[in-house]
Amino acid sequence: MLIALAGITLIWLTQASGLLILIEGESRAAGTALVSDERGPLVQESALSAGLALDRVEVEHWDNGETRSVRGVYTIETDSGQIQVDLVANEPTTVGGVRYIQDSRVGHVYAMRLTREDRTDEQEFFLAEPESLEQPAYLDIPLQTGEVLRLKSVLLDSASGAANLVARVERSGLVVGEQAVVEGEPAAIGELGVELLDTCRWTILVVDSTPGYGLLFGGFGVISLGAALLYLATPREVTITREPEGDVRADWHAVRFGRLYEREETLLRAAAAGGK
Amino acid sequence: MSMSTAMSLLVSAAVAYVGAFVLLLGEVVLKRHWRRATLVLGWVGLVLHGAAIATLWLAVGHGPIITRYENLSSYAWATAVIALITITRRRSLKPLGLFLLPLSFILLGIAAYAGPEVANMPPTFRGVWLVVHVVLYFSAFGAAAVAVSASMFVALPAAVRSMHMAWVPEADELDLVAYRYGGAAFALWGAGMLAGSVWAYSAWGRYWGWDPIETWSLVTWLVLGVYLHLRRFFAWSGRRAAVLLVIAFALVLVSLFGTALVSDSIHSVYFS
Repeated sequence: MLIALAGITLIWLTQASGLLILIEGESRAAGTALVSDERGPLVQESALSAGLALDRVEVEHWDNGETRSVRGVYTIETDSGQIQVDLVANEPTTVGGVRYIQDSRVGHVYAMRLTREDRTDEQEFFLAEPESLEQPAYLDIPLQTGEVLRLKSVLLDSASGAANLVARVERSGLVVGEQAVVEGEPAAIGELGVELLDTCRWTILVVDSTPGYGLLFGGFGVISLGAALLYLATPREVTITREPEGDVRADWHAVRFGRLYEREETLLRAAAAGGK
Repeated sequence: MSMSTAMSLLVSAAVAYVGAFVLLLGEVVLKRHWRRATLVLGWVGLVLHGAAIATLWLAVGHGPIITRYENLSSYAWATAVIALITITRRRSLKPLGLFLLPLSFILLGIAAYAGPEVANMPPTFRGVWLVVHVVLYFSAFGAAAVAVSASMFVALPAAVRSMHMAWVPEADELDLVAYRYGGAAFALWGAGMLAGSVWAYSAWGRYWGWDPIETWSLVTWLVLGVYLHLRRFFAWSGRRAAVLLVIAFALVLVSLFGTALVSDSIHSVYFS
């Protein structure tokens, strides 16, 4: 119990974890702050202790298009140079004392140029992976004109994981126009010019450098071992002795947890006294 | 073909459980000598039920842990296993089957109503810790079901037991059964939570996230702990301990089946 409590205290004081939202080809230097971080009182800031880059994301799908597995290929800087690491969702990997967990959240990021009259904006839009072939992913972007640009990412086939992007402009709930958007082919939806500049994948990497988990689970292990030893030990002993006169004497003894067997003792005494 | 086979086997198992229950009722209440037939039918139902689970497993390629149908069927199977072992090994506890067998076929009925839809294994649903987590919870549910079946008889007023239910075992014996199985449920539930937290870390990068089901699970575990504590250190026994265990079992049902239906949860994404 003491070991477990020490582990809990250590984790509470030194917890340092958070996540990074990364695009394929993107790198982050050591010291980059993690988002959605959880920090203990002794930790100033949750940050990357080693630089890393996301080389690519590989997503496998089931036949109906649901996500089957997510694998991120990362390059991580270590003391002995750069190493490439394959991180698979649900399989945490420790590099240089830091645990990296590939999140199952993944999707496409679309770099787009939006043009209206003489104004041009270039933005990146993050859409989640479509849930299945029948269930696209959506993202609504409010425009300054009061219109809404709705992007729809449709999975084309489950084998390749390729997705098609459809853009729609709505004004006051009415559809102004809708068009499939293809890279290198500018399109116009109402008064809005839309051009897809680039497409790649994004994903989330969880980074955790909290010490103390080993101590905590070691404590649980010791507690479990102790419980097993207690459970497996014989809790009561009965010694039967034949007296020289021919009488038989039974000695009953609860090795531990005597109070737990009080009722049994009472029943035995009653039986010995001639009860049932 | 496999899906319909699984459903046919499941319905056959439910019929066998109902048959075993009826025979048990005759054996316990009407004092008929139907013990052998009861046990044979009960175990046949269990085998058919196991075959239904295995058939669906082979058809969909993953264990019975994702959809509502799969989960309810698994909980029903765990309950039937522990019920049949209990009433086979201890003749005096056979009245407990009057609660446990109906619980199994009611769970099966709800499972059949939900239907054996096919769900794919999401990326986070793999690894040995997930298997350990669900097996421990299935076992904990079975143990809690035996404990509450004993407690429900203990919770009845003594006058009712003596006048109308003479076939009920001695309250002391049932009380001890409730205590022991309640302790087993507490240990299995706690170990299940621990295994679940290790799996959660692999899947989402955190051991504990105050997800509604996690929170209710913790509350249930603590109430089971309070029950054991009151019995061990404050000498609670008899009716008041039995009533507390019935409340704890209600929490078990809320944790496992209720929360997923009424609130968003990582678990309910797949369970509901």
